[in-house]
Amino acid sequence: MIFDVLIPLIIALPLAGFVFTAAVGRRLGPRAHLVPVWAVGIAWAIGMVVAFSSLTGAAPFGNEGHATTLYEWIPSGTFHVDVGFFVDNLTACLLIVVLTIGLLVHIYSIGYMAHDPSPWRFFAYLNLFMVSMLLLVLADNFLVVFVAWELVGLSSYLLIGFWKHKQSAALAAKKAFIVNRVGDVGFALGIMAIFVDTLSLGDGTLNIQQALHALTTEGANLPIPIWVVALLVFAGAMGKSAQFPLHVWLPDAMEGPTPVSALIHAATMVNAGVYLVARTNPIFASAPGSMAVVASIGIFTAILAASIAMTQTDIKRVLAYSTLSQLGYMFASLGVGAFAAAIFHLMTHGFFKGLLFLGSGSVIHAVHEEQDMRRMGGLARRIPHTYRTMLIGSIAIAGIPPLAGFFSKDEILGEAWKNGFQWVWAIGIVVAVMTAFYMFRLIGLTFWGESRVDPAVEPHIHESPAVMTTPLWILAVPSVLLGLVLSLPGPPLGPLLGLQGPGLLAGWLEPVFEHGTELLGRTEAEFQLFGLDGALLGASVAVAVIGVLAAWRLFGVNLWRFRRNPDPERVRTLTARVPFLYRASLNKWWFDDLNHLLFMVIGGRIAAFLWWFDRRVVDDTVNDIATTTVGAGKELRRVQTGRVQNYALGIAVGLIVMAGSFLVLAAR
Amino acid sequence: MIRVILGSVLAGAFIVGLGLIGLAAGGSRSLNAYLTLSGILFAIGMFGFLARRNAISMLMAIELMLNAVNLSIIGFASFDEKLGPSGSVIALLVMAVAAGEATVGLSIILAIYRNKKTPLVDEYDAMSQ
Repeated sequence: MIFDVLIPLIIALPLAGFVFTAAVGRRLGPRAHLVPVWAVGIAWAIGMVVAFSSLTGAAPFGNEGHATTLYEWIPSGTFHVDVGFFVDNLTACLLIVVLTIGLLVHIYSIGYMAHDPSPWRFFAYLNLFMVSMLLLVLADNFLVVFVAWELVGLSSYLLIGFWKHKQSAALAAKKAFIVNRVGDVGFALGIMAIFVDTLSLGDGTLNIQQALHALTTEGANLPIPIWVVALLVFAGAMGKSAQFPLHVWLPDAMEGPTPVSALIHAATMVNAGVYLVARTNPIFASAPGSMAVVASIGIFTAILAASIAMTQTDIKRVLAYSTLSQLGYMFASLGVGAFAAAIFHLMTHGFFKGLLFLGSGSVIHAVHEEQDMRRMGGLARRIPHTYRTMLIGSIAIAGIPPLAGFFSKDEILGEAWKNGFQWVWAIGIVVAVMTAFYMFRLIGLTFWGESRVDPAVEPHIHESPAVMTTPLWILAVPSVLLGLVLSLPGPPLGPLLGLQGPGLLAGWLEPVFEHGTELLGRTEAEFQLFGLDGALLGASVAVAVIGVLAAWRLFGVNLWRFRRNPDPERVRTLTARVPFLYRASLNKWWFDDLNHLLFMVIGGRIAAFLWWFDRRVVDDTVNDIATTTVGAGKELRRVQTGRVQNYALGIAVGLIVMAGSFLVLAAR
Repeated sequence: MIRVILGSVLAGAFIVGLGLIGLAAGGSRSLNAYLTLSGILFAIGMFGFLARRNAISMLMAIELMLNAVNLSIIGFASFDEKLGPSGSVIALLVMAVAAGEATVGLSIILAIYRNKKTPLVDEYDAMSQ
């Protein structure tokens, strides 16, 4: 089969690029990007062929997906692990996001890293990341997924700490790695639990499809309850997708180069958790309690991160908290049982957040590595391409129709209401206001109003080269159209135009989530434009507009005919009215301080005590035993005089004692 | 000269004493007489081995102990019908082993003597190392 060759090739090409660049990249100097970019480019082309073959249900894929085995990795009796790939429509959607954004980020990085002393290292790491991420979405075995899971963690670590001479970057890389480990422990335990459970039902297997089937259809007594498995897997997802309380690593990860933030920490790797939960949806669907946990943690992260994003001044940190918040939406969506809506938002968010991050990189590039929005302003005329594309991205994320973000966010909120999670909907609506607000605060502070740029830098502000702006414009296209395309011919616009049937994406993903939805026992209600659905739709548009207008009122606007100057005085009086909330948001709700107190101060004390215990009690006991043994040996060696008659005397005394005691005993 | 005469007298008295003890224990018709003689001989050998400083004397003391054991075996053999001639065979075997042991022991003593230039065993302490 041709696809049995093409699918492994998607991973093999970036792998070859990584090996080549790592081996000889240093000697290529400024041309080091050629091989990695072309490797990803060809992988993109192959990936699109595979993805569209799957989405159109072509020969080997059909509805159920196509599995291909590369080789047997661990043959051990009845337990065996194959390195194999599985492509169904869910994988295809992820392939489109990962490969497209990956390729555009590679191209963008040619311009962004042009002045870096070692671009070859950067491109080698980027290719390594592509290998890991593609393996993650393609693997058909939990153990291989776990390997890829750790590999994306490694490449994320390498790329966050790419500028390793910077103390803050090195620390941020370490923080990301360690916080991720916490979640990974859960995931590893979850995989073990899955194996234990499948073993109790017959053959132990870690193959994803077989395990999902076995765990959810047998209805047998599992030694480890299904909700424990679900929560352990979710713990891994929380680490990788930076959900509360493991969210602290993602904002710090912005220390890495901006293309990395766009690729790894916005569009692809952080989606791995969403993908994992969506992939194992039958497990979650069998345990409704765990679904509620997923929904609560997701929506709580969404509002927490959105509240922090409202006051941050570092342009990349605003976007980072925005990413956290949107990931929270996705988990909330998974938690309420709207799996397809979560993947919908994953795709649209991947594109517009990738665009926003690459745009922020272009801004930072223009103002000479300045990231503080208080020292920007009025950049709209100076960097028009960046401005326009970022504006498109902001409208998309704010949820203004008909851009992409509106469709996916509205679907999440609507599903939450209709599935009986009104409280998730209520919090989600508040988050939607905040999202629109902080995005237009960002645009206002960066592009509109008076320039607050350092006068020394001011004359040197320049638009980025075409190699950087072209990816921005390419990403702007899906940011505008993707929501519309993927939702047609279904709601919300389908019925208005007189079309029938489910949305394009919903149709694609239906076979993937069929089992999970069945387990949840949900039935699709008829879409009512002039009923509940219309009201929910109106609400989500209204809150987006309110958020945007609020931001315009406070931070100014300069859009076509709308002009308004920023009103810093009003911002000050408003923040003075809610001093606690303002300080909480500014200090990120003190989570970093809490972690510092818990793990550095208190944990440090405990570690110091244990170190003392080890040194004084454990080590000293061992040393004392050794000293006693040596001392005793020194004393006892005097018995060994070396004189043969002393030994003979011992033998004689022994003989006499033996004979004597025999006589005494025999006499009785 | 006096020491030799005194020694001979003492030795004679000792042997006579031994004979008297043997007779007191039941004469040549009693197993106890043989075993008593054997025990006394063994004690003398042990004393010699422990108390003499000269390596050759110690070797001779060992021979004495071996012969004491042989004597008891022969004694048992002649008083117990079940043992029969096998007692004599065991005694012969012990003699052969004793001869071999004496040969090896003597050559070891000679080798040490060449190194240490002394036959006195309390000068030998190489075994402590």
